[in-house]
Amino acid sequence: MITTILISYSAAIIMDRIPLKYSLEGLPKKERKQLRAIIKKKKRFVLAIYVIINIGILLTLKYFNFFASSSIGLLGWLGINVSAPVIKIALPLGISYYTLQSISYVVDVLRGKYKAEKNIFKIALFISFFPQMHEGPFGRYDALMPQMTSGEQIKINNLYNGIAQMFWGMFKIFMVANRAAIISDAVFKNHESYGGFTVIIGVIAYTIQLYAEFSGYIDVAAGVSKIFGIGLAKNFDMPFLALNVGDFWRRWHISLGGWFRDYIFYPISTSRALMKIVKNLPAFLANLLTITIPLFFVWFLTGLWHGASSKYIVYGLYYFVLMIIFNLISPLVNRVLSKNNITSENRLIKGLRLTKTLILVGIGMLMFRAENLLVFRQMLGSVFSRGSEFQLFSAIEPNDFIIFILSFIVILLSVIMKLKDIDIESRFEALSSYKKYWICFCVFCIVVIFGAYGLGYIPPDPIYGGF
Amino acid sequence: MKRLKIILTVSSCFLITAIIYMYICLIVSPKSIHDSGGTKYYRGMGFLAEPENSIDVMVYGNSDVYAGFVPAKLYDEFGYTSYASGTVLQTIGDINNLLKKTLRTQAPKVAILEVDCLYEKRNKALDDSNFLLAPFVFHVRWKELKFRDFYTIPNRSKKYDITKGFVHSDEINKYDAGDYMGNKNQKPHPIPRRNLKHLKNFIKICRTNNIKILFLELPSASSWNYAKHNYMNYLSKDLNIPFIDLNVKDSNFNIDFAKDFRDKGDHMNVFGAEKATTYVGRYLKEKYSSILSDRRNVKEYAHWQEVVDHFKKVL
Repeated sequence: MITTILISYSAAIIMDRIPLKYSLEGLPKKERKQLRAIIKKKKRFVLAIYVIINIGILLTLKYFNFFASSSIGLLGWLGINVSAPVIKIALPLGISYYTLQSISYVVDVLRGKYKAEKNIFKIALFISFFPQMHEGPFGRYDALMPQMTSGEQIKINNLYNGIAQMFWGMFKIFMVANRAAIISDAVFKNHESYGGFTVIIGVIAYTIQLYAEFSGYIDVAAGVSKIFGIGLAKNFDMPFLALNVGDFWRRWHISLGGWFRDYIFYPISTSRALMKIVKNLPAFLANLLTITIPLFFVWFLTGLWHGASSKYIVYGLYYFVLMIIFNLISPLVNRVLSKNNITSENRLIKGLRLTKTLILVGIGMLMFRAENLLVFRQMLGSVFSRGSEFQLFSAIEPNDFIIFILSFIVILLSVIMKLKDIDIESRFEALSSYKKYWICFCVFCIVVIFGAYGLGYIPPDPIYGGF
Repeated sequence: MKRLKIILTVSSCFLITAIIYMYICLIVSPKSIHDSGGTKYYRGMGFLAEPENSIDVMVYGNSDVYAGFVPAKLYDEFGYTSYASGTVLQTIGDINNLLKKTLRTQAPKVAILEVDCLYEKRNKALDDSNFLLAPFVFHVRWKELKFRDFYTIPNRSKKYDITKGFVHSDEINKYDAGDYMGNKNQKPHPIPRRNLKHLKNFIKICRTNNIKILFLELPSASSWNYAKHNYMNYLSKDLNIPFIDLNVKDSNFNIDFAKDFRDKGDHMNVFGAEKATTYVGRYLKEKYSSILSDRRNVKEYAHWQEVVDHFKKVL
């Protein structure tokens, strides 16, 4: 992380100083343009060096073994036998998060969005801001830095609101996610035995686990930050109400999607190389390629970001294929609907779209949780066959299941209230300190007494913490 | 006036919070040995409920003791009454407190110290006896709460334990004894200085009360090695206290790595514990028969037959 901080700070400072070497004043327009191109080229060169070093660290520490074994496998298939050393280094906590976050800072300096920060400690603070180190969300320099350096004192209201959000996050993790994990583990760890509805139960349980855990950790991070008067980027927006997979990813891990959109999709889709490729193609094909090529890189890298395994790459490409199909089919579907005077607001159509999205996301979740692609294929196939009978209460104790269901209902209620435009956060903020205190204390007691942690429970590893 | 109001509100808030939290601690604390966590909570002090001066051999130590020493077996084979006063991660400092408590009602002839505990460092966070941590340590108790839990104050004295401290387990998880104990010539691994001070205090109390001390190390592949053995060997000679280490071949104790452990070498199961108890019993008979009496046919100790019957029934 220290290396990342040092190179991010240096790269941004160097980029900012490059134009100072050249004086544009009094130059003819043509020469000024040429000089600007040189400056841009030099800045890009610095960026390239910076990205190579920064991504190089990430690739070496996180992906070296995966790429080495894949390359050896490929070469072996071609009849060339080689060997490579296995690197055993403890992966720095949050490396995938702070690497991308630091890149966004340097790229934004290059784009002239803001000036390079002269104080290295401020850059260090931005890159190593502890609440978001573990599972995100990805913060942007221009959004975080003014809040971090405003010198605002800790306010009692921020303290209550932050603690309340932290406890809400813990409620999701310890009451819901850790219990859903008991059910999903029981199914996935004995996947050979089960089929049909049991696999679906496993996928639903895993989906609940992933959402409750990930959004729970984000709530804890946001709560801690709120105590210091810092607002983090939004990472979830009721993702399971999405009507298509694109919409799902605009609501799920929003900060990651935003990063890939701003730093992968837009640069590739507006790049000269792509423009050259599509220049002489028919409009339909040109439009298709302008979306498909950047989207391919976005989803390939999204998959790879999740983990150094072919499973995650296929997981990313699964969404890439779905989005391309959606882009191709949706104009046809819309045309058919409008011919029959059916609007997109029609409840039946909305319900069908919601169901379709949930099924597709469910398949994605199955791939994400399955040990490898072979297991995924076997489990997906077994949905249509009958396996052993699943004994729910031998996997999870009945009273644990009741607490799980009740807690899950609480989360559902919070979603319903949001849908009805009831702003729980504002309502909580409007309460007196006295009431806020007792609400926080009640949630704390509920989590401490009924939470699934410690003695009697096997704690699941934080899923997104591993990325 | 406004300031006073704020102070009063804040203090009343804290007071009410403390009362509610303490009450939650009281509710979830185990009220009996049979409650979840009750074994850990009460086991080490079950001797407090024993008839006065009825225990001849006290065995102190950490989890190795409750897993590896069977008082019922010792009584059944040799007629010696004993109590296995071991709890998880118990330190020698805690043991000194237990010893003082023991001496209030008992007059043991022999105190066996399972020496693995001499390497334990005090960890307050894991201290099960901390009442204020009860909601965290015993939080699974909500599943089994009874009406009595809401009004009974947990009391560690007077909890009669028919197992006399032994925690039964017939689970078998074999241990791969590849590098068991390590190199014989390992450099001695000293115990923490603080523990040495506590140990000297333990010895002083025992000697003052005319209690013979025996250092014992029950088989524990994951926590014991030659470095510790060599140090304890040196210490036992220095302090003039006998030391039996069932981990070394010289002891002639035959550990069956395939059958005697419950958790891959960390703790013994009932099969290993029976063997270890018989071994210790033979040693006690050989060395201390002059001070230990066979209580099997003594009327006052008739209840010990129930202890043996209970053990055999569970077995």
